[in-house]
Amino acid sequence: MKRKIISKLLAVALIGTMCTGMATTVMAADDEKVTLSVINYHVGTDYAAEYYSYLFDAFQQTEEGKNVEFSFEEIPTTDAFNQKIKLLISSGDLPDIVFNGGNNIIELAAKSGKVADLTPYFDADEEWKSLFDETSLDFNTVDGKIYGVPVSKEVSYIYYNKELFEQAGIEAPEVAYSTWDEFFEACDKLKEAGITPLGMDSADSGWLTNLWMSALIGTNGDAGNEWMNTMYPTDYNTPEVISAAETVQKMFQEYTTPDAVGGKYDPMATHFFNGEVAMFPNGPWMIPDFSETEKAPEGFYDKVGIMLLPGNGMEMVPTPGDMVGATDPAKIEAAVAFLKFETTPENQIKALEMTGLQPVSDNLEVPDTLSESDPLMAQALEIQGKAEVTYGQNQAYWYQNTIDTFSTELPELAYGNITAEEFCTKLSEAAAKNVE
Amino acid sequence: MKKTNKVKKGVASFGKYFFMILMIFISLAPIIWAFLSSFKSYAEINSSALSLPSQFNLDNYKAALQYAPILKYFMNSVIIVGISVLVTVALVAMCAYVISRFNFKLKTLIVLLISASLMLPAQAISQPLFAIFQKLGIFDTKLGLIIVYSAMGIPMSFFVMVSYYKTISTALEESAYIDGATFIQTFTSIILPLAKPGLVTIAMIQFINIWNEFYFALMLTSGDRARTVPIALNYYMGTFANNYSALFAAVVMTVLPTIVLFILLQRQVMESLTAGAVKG
Amino acid sequence: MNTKNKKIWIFLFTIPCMILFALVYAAPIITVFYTSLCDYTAFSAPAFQGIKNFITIFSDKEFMTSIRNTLVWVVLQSTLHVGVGLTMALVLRRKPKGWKFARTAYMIPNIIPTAATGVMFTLLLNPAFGIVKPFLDFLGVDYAMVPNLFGNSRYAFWTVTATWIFYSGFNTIIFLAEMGAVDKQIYEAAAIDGATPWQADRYITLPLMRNVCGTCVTLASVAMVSQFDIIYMTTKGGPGTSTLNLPIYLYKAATLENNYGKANAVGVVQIIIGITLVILIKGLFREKKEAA
Repeated sequence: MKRKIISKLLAVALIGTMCTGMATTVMAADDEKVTLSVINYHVGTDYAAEYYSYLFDAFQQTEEGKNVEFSFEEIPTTDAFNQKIKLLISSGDLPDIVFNGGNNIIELAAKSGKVADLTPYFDADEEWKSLFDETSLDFNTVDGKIYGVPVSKEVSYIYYNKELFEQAGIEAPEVAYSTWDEFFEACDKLKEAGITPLGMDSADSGWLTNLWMSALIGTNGDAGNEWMNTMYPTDYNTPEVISAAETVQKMFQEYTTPDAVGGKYDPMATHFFNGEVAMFPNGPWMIPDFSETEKAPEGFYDKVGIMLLPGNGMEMVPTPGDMVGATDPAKIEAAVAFLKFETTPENQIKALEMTGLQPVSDNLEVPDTLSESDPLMAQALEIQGKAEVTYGQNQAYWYQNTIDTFSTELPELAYGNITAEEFCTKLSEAAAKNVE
Repeated sequence: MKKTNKVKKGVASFGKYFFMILMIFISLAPIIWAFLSSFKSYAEINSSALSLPSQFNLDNYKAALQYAPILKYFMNSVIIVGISVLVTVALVAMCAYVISRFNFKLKTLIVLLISASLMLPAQAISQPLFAIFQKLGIFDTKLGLIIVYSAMGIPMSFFVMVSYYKTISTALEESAYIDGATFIQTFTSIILPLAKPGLVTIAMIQFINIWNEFYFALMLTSGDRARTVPIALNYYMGTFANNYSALFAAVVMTVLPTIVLFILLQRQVMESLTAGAVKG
Repeated sequence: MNTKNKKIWIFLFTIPCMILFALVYAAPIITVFYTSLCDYTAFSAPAFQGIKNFITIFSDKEFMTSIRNTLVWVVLQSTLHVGVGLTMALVLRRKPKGWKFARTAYMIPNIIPTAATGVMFTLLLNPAFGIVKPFLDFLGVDYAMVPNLFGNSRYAFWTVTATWIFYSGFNTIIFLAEMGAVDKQIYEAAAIDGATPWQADRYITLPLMRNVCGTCVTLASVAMVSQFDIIYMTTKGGPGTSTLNLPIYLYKAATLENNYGKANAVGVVQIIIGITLVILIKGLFREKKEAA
């Protein structure tokens, strides 16, 4: 309750500053301009391109941002972005605001000493700090210092096609199948009705299969859950991981499309849009696609239901946050101001509405209009609260090269060329290659 | 006797055409496929590889132009690639000539160094180059990329050109020297005209080699003024947000003018080749 | 050959090339060789440690696989790929109907950006909706399951190979230029002696192509030693290690393991293999003395 009031106050304050910001533009010309360099990967067809272009403009309308100018370098795709950031970290030419494209870049940047320690700024602004929970900040902490400002949370669930469930004569559970056995029973029934039950993939990072496997591990007792919430696991030959790999093998062989092995995300998503697979794991950023007629048939949005993973499980990971690469005090100040602006409750809600990015702050007041304008999104937010177990997924927690091994060895597992144990051994071997 | 000859000839000619048509087919298939795909929707492209697009409108082309500064990058590509082709050809024409004609100390070393550079991993090159270019003030300039690309083109062109010079008989040069011509006169008025087909060939090779270069174009630039077409194509690919239709539209838009350019260049080569060709 | 001021001209003709070359490659070559002997990661500056990186990679099974795959590709490329290019040049040399069109068409695949080619092949060969199923149906082949060409390690290596092996336009233009330089009087004389066109090719053209064949084989080989893009765009070295080659292994060491020292050790091996190949091929194609 308290937080809701705070956020409303913030909103009023923000609008206030925006007005004064505009009113004083003429006077501000006398002040020293600060130019912040940014490398932005939210460009082109990126899901958040529109949101970020709004965000940069809006920031310049605020009191803190009115003297800030941005100099942009655009690098489309996180793959290319990460390659360049790694080069810039070693050469010491990081931009003032360093977006985070994953890839465990925070540790690399922090250990190289090329990004600013943000702990003092968090400590000086309790209100700002209170927007983040401990897990999110811990995730962005290296050697006791906070380096990244997380802007969202990553969650995912199962989308299912109501029509196909009806055809198979089964009813989807309200929140989730209580056990995996029930889940696979449903898969069998779908299969009997001639419907492919699951969407899976293996190329790139094997994202969909990763979500299934993380869930299998994360909902498998305390040991499995703890393992799936561990950063940089090195031992994959645990009973829970092996058993999950066995199940994944079976899922590939019995419950998915023939192109899942070696498949990339897009054709797999298209199978779901076209009603060719019944269940598809993914996060809320997929919701806008359901109503995009370029991708899905007209009216598809209404056919989609949401449930949690079996055993009321949900993947939930903090996201790696944006960093400050500036060294000049005035620039650091301005960059922090931008990161604060990026994480105001208003902008978190804005991001949710525009991109499906989940707010990093808990209990933000979601506008009532959402359940009308985007009922699926509202439902997604609601169902999150019902998760009983949460766990991570490999892209957030595993070593980079181990994710890669996961992706390249999945086909071998799927075709039975290696056993689940061998699969896990390969992951352990890959993890062991990492240097500290 | 005559009959079997005719049969043989027929078989040979059939084989010849069969091979040629097969090659034309596998060469044109990709671009035709890309062309057809450039009209498809996301759903069509990701669910059927062989169907025709349901409509032929320019939406994807508009999207391609809107998402990425493709025209600007195309012009950059033309300038950067064009100049570096000229530079490579000029430098290699000279260097390969003396390597192919003379024995001197360091010759083996030069050849080995050039060979080694072909295998140098790009990642290992980018780091030192990034630092050097910043010091020289040519980071994020067309000049910077021209330098890298010209250097990158040296090894391949070098091998081809050395081999080509060896086909040119030394008799002409020797008689020129006897007539009192200087080295540079001999090179420019006797060797270069004879080497023209070789030079055009390395120009084409160099063109193909760097037209699609992505890595250095990304690492050694930071803005629109020196970025090239391959980078523009990345604008259509994002996590969970690939737009393959726009990608193929962009491919069509950038490949077609390139083909025209190519035809013009090839006409050059073939003109100089007609002298030696036989009727088949 | 004798000319005045020979040494000066040699110097003047090689120096521009060498300066440009040094500007771009000198520092990297030294860095690669030196840091391959260092403990050097994304987290730490290079510190000399001897040959440890080499011991690490040579005791890694995957590295040995990557060498084997690389070498198999070298062999395939220098035979099949160069062979296709040569055949095409022999066909086009006679200017059959449509040869101009064929010549241009044959170069087009080389101009299409790899990023697009990669996407195209993965979609075309998709087992659910690609061309494999209709093709097998057309041939009347029985199959229990549509072969997953990129996804199944049984086919992946050959599938990846097929994405480039036929696109030999490169070699064709090199051969064509060389063939154009052959004195046409030789062919006229042969024709008068009653040689068929194919005999002319067999006994006149091909022997004269020996030297340029060496060049094409060299270029094809070194290209395979550093082949990266299309593999990265399609299989990333998988499934398993079925399409893993040296550059992909190197990329993984540098980018995914952050181990630059190890990556550069792989780079050194790559350079040594490449130079060895260049020297071997040079020996193999050295012109016989009597032919010169």
